[in-house]
Amino acid sequence: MTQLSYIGIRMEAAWFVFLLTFAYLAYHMYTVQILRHDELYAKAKSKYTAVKTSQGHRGQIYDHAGNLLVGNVPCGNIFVDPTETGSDEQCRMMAELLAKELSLDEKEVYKDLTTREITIRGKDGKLKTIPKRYAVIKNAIEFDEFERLKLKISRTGFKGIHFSNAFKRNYPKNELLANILGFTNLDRDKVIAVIGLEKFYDSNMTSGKGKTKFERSRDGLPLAFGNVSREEAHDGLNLYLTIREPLQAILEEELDKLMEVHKPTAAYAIMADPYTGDILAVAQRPTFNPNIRKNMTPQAWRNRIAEDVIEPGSIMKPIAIAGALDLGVVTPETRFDCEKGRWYYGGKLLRDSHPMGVLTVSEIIQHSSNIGTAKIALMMGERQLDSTLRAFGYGKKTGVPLKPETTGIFRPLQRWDKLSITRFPIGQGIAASPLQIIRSYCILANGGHPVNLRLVDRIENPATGKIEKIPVVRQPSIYRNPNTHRDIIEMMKRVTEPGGTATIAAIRGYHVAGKTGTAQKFINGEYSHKKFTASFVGFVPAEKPRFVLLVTADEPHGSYYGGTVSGPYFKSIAERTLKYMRTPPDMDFAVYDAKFKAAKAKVMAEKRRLWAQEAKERAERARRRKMQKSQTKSSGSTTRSYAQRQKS
Amino acid sequence: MNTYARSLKDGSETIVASRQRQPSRKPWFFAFAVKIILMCSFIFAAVTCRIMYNARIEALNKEATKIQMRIRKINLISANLRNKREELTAYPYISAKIKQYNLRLRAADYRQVSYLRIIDLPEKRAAKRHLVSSGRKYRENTSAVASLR
Repeated sequence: MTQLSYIGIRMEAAWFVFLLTFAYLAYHMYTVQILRHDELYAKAKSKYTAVKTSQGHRGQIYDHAGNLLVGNVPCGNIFVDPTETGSDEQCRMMAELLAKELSLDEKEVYKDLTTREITIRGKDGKLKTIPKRYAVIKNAIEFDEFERLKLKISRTGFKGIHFSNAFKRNYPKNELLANILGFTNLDRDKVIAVIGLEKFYDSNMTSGKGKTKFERSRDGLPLAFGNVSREEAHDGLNLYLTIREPLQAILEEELDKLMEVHKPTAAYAIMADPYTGDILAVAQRPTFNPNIRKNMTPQAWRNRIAEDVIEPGSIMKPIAIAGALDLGVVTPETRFDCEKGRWYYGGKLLRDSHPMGVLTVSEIIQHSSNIGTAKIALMMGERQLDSTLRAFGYGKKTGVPLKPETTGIFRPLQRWDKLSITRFPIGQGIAASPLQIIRSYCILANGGHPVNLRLVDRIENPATGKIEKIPVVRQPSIYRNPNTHRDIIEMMKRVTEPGGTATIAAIRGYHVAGKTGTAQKFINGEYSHKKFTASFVGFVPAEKPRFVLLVTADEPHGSYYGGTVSGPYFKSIAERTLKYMRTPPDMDFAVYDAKFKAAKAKVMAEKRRLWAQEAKERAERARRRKMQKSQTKSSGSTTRSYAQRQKS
Repeated sequence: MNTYARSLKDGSETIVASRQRQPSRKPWFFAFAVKIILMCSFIFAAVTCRIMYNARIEALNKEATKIQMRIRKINLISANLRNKREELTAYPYISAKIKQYNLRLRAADYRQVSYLRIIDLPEKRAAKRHLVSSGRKYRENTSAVASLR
């Protein structure tokens, strides 16, 4: 064999080896790339694919002008990884710092930092010990405080302390409108709405979760050229209320003054636009601060204006009388004998607060005669009275977005007894929520057009900017007679004029149409003589009202008349509101003063005439008694007592 | 292939055998290697450029992420300040400050307040005058003069 042939053989052998190697590599590549492609691809993807979830923000609540009432404010959470905290000495120093900065118990913090293992029950039911990698030090720390602390701790070089940003629900106006807005609680990162608008609109305001799947590099950052699939988180819808913050503040301030002076167990004030049903302001006491709920009682956070019922008392009179006027049963000048304040009907005594003689319908409202109102209702009849009260909204919900809301206590016509027709029109035996009362007065003020009360004006989608306005539904007037509205307003104006029951609620330069209400509370099966509800409701200016306002004090101490307790606060709230709304007065102050003086003089003259008449009658009675006594002495016959004569 | 040659002297044509290719002194694989090396160089250059661009993209990505973090932080600060502003403009807070500093403020009487309303800007006024002068019917709802209410 020649040398050349040896070289050839070696070359062929080398080629053969290369071929084998190449074949093996090709086969391996085929196995990896083709046969095991899916399995290995999935494995690799799981390593470099990360999923990040995000949560949108809960919807916020604003007043009509866009002032924030409920919002989301950034805050911080501090947690530790006990496996990274280091030696006990280090933990002690960290505990001291954290406890001092966050006002926590140092021992508890030290325990959190040093508890490095926890025992859990596995899926197989057996107990096992695993390292504890997470312990919360404090949640919901104020943002400024959190940033300062973060900087401070990062400079110390302590290991194992971690920070995360979060958002918490905040009520920047504190107690303002607290009961209506409601509040939320946090249950393991889930927001639970408890009461108020937060609860009613929970599904609208709840935010949606977002998910981002991306391919990441070794340091965890997303790759620029990697695949990204994104499901955007969406924020909840924002609510814009009909409430005006300045008016709300006025209401709350005046209500606080009422609480301070008269110390009632509860007080309410509601202001509404009679034409649209917009609730401009609503306040109640007691209330609470939703930012500080540690010592909150259920009495404080209940929505009394929607849940509680009160007997309206004399507030009901204009409603019933408006119905009578509309039916043509009476006119403003129709006269009724008010029986000197004592009248028996259906075997029961009905009394007036003061003895009154013959009064016109206008005077019945002005002097708030129960007997006069009862006689008007008798002329109307039960059916007409029932339909009148129901047309004004009693027995029905008002349409506000609050739960629960009461429909009040208003018996159906079939369950009326003999006395109902005389009691319901004077606000006894019937109970209504403050919202129902304000709605009925809105109908009275706007010419008889039923309205639903509105708390929410519009809803905004923050992502798209789209705004959905809640429509105002205007219904036709319930009055058949076009003069009814004018007549009833004229009568109600007299309540705040000299001779009325609430001259204290008069506002200089404006015509105020209103009515006082002093209702005995029904406790343990009978009407109390010690506990009352004192109310005043009215609207200003009387002819074209800008608002209807109700002020009620529940069980005031000392004086308990509606005109004395609630009237002054109605006046102060209304005056401030009229100034805010820039409503010019109905007449010049000089003209108003002159009219007021003339009316007062007229009332005084009438009073003097009545006093003189009364004195004359008293003298006449005394003279007759003397005569009878002398006759008895001479004849020896007995005479019946005054009481015996009255009973017969 | 044959080569025809013509003599310049006498013009006669002769067939001259084509030149035989001279066997190369160098081995065949050198050219192959040069080609391979060139191809590999191109591939290397392309890959290097790609890696360089990727590195730049990643660096920009990191920069973008840092800026996004800053924006997020600024948004948090902005949300916090917005909330603080709402707290400070709450009427109970203002009322408490008025009492604290004894400012003796009171609400203005309606006769003490005047309202100035400028309705039209000068450009709009000029445009309107032009429309009026051209004979088109134009109804003005608003006065061109600032009115004092």
